[in-house]
Amino acid sequence: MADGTVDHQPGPVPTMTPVATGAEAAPTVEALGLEEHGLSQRTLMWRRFRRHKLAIASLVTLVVIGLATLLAGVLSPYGYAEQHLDQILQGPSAKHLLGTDQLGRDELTRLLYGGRISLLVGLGVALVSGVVGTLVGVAAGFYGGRLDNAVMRLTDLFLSIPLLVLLIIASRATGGSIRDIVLVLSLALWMFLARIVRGLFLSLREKEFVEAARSIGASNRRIIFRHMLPNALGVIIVSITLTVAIAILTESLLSFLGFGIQPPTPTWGNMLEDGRPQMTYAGWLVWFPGLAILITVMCVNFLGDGLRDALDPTQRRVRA
Amino acid sequence: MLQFAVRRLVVSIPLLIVASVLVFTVLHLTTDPAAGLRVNPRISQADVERYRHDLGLDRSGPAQYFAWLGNFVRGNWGTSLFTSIPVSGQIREALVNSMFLGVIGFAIALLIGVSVGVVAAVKQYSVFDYMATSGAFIFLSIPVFWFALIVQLLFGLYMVRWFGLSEPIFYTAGLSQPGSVGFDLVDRLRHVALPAIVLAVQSLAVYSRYMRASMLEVLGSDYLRTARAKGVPERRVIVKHGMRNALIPLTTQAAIDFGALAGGLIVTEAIFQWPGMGNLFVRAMNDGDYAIALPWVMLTMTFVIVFNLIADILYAVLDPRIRYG
Repeated sequence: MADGTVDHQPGPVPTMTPVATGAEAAPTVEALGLEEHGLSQRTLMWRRFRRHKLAIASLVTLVVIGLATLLAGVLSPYGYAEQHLDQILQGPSAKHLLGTDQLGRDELTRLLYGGRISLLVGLGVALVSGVVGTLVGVAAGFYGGRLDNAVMRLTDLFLSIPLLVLLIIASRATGGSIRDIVLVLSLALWMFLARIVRGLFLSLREKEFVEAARSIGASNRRIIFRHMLPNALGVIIVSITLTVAIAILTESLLSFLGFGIQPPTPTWGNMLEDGRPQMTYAGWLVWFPGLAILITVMCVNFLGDGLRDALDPTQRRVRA
Repeated sequence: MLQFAVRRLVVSIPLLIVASVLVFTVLHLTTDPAAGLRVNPRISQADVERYRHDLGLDRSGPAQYFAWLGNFVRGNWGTSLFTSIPVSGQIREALVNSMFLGVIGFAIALLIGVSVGVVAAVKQYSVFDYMATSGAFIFLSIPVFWFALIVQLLFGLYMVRWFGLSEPIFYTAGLSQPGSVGFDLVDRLRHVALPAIVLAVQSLAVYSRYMRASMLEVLGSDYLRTARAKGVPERRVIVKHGMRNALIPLTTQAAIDFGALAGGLIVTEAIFQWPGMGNLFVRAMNDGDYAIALPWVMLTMTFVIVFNLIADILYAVLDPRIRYG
């Protein structure tokens, strides 16, 4: 359930994402993109993706947010640690669009710089846990036997420890640098993809084309990377995308527990935690970082949904 | 079935051992329970050493761990390293509080989640369906921690201001009014309401999605067409034939989630200062109090494992097509 256990979050990928588990509208020929004969896979995917209006809008929003955070230095006249002690805790105004905090730092500026870190953490975790999860899943699913058994017991162990407990334990053992946080979050999130990939590989292994490849003498390595992995790629990409959302949410949880990235480096999570004591008289310090997380995570989720439609046509279409 | 259950439970014992070793190792390496005493100038070094010796903290890590494990399996959970209060009592109290909050939040989530999911499925592609779907997406994207703060602001501050109340309808912190004696149900409910809402809202989104998907699948099935063809009233078709079957996948998910409730809600409990399992664990970890942290981990993981098992058994009982693996 939510919190702690999953304090919701970062809840395990499968429950977190509104997966299209069941029968939505029956997939029509059109929805599956089968009407376009003679088009390349890429074109077909792009067509399916384009049909998901919200995913397109989300992608645009994310690009804008990403650019804004990268251009923070250009967009804002202030620095993220620049204090104006004569202007503390001021509400939104023309001079400080989103107000200032208890040290007179410009909230919008910090939000932009903080977004840079939050997005970086999200992408970093998605990449690291994606690569680890995929490799572990591939090894377990392809080679099977004892290796599979050992690896699955390990994922069981990680899955049966409540997520936040795992995070607290891990973050005690590390510092508060960006690299540490990325590693800690990856450690807590790699299992979900590993399980999915293992399942896929177990079934792919028995497919005729794999047997065909083997019969003409392809090496294991070639079979895995040239024949099997491309077939699992859609699912992996969708899962990695959704991991970005979960990582951003979880980073804010870590900051709340005091284990996150340490000040004065801003992240959306530690800004939220920083603004908490002031929230009764300076509500904007809590509202804006929270909304930034909410909007970003929502866009990533919609994007993931759109990608699922585009890359994984066996899954029924989910409208969003 | 019994054999299946026993085998599953026996296989999980190593998991518990490994997890507790993990927690102990991290605590042992990173936290010194006597740190607070050392920096106190009024306590002599000799007294600190005596304290450490009395608690066995001067022994090697493995020796401490195995001494603890031996006592633990014999049912002797000892006392907290700090307060000398028996661990079992502390854990029992925290567990009761966490379960009270958890069960209420869980019930709200299930009730609303199932209803929303069923209606959304029956009226697929209606305005309600669209709203429920986008609502679920938004709720799934909310940081819990932020949502809890906003709920506090809304009920504790904004509503009091807008409606000119003398005190909030629902309190934003604690278990009961400070200074109150005994158990007052109304007061307790006014305290549990906000954390329960925070807890419910996140799970509600997940449940409504699950329910909608499984209900749609059932609605498209042949036996439902048969029921309609026989002339069964639509209401009965949906509730008796449809919902009952659509609930099966949700039941197993709910059983798994219920097991996780024992671990409490670390963030929600911290923000609403609810003295439950989540808070107990965070405090134990900060203090380096392994006498509390280790039984805590054992207990919550056991809950998770047992309820996962119950989920599997339930699934097979409810859906005769499924056989035990």
